[in-house]
Amino acid sequence: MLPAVLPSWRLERFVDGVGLVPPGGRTQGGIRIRDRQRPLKSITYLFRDAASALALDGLDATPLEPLLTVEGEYAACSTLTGTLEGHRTERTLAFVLGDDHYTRIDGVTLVPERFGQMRALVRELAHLYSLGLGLLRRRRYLYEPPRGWSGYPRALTTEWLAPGYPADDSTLTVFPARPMIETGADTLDVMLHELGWTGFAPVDAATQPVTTPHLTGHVRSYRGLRDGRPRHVHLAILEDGRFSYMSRLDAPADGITHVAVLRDLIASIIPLPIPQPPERSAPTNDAFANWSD
Amino acid sequence: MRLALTAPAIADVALVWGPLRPGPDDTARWATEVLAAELPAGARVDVHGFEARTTTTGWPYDVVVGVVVVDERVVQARLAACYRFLEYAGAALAIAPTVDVLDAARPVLLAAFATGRPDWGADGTVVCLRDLVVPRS
Repeated sequence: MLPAVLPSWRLERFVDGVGLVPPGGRTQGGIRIRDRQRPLKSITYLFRDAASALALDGLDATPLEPLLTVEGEYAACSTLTGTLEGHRTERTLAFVLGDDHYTRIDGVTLVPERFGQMRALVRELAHLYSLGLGLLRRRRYLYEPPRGWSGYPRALTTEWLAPGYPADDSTLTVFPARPMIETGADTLDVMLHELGWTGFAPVDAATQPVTTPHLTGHVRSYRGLRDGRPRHVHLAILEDGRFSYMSRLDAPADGITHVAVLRDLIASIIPLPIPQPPERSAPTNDAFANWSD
Repeated sequence: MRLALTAPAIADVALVWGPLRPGPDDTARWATEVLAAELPAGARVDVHGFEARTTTTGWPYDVVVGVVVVDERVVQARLAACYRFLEYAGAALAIAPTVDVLDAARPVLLAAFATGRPDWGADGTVVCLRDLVVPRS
């Protein structure tokens, strides 16, 4: 993508990424791409922090538009308007979101006739941007968080603590999606980070098939003891042919009512997106070339 | 990630709490450090008491009480709550100008401390993918 724009735009290098300067120079505006930014924060915070740093008077922003990149990564875009040193300014910000970092794309122009083009350019850059993380990797996925439960993040895993935790020491753990093809390293990772059932002694188990709007699989239910106290463990494993999606409810015997929470959560899982080809064969060539008068 | 408290404003008492930190190896030493936070110049803190408690939902925490001394004169009274939330820890600190003021406020402070809980998603911490895709209200 970037080589396609170089003939008409000037590429500038920075410690944390690159800048793109249009024909006519910086007075026409430009685009700044910052790679591998940390810490990764909620999308609301990323935009809020970025917007507050722009120092625009009379700031207004379009609603965040969720995007998917051609690699199947999540991204979001918004356009901010305001005045800077008396000039009406428009900035379009896009964030392309990795697992623990993000790329920020920031397009600006003071030329009102270019506002629409800049919006389109930043959006297309975000759509086409490559994080290069690879498709077949452990990833977070979308689901409806259990209402009233407190989400405790452990890297890509989220441990949802029951509303009365720790008095009610029920947990609902959502593990990252895993590619269906596993290696020995993956097996070790599961043992270290996901199925550390130390102290839980299953007494019996039962398996039920499960079908959700997007996935199929099963829930395996265990009854057993931990530290001499009865525990119930329900392990849901769903698949979409590419990834497996595993979640686990671990509850005391009287926490059996939480099974409905697990059922609702797995029903809400949205499979990871499938990478899509670019919307057009060479969108950036046209968009960038038309910038020049 | 921050400590969350439900606490009313208390006259003449400053109550502060903040982000979570990794759980300390030595909780008693950490509690003393919390009580001694931002001491005035030339001051020391004398610890007068230490009590293990649990919040209303069962999170363990220690209450530590003491005074700040400058030139052998008590200049502040302090009461701290030091919580342990799984692998993290959080603290709240109440500062009063005198022991009498702190004693009068103690029931309200202890009730507030009992509401302590972790807010894992505070300050934009990503709890799950939804935080990256769906704007928070």
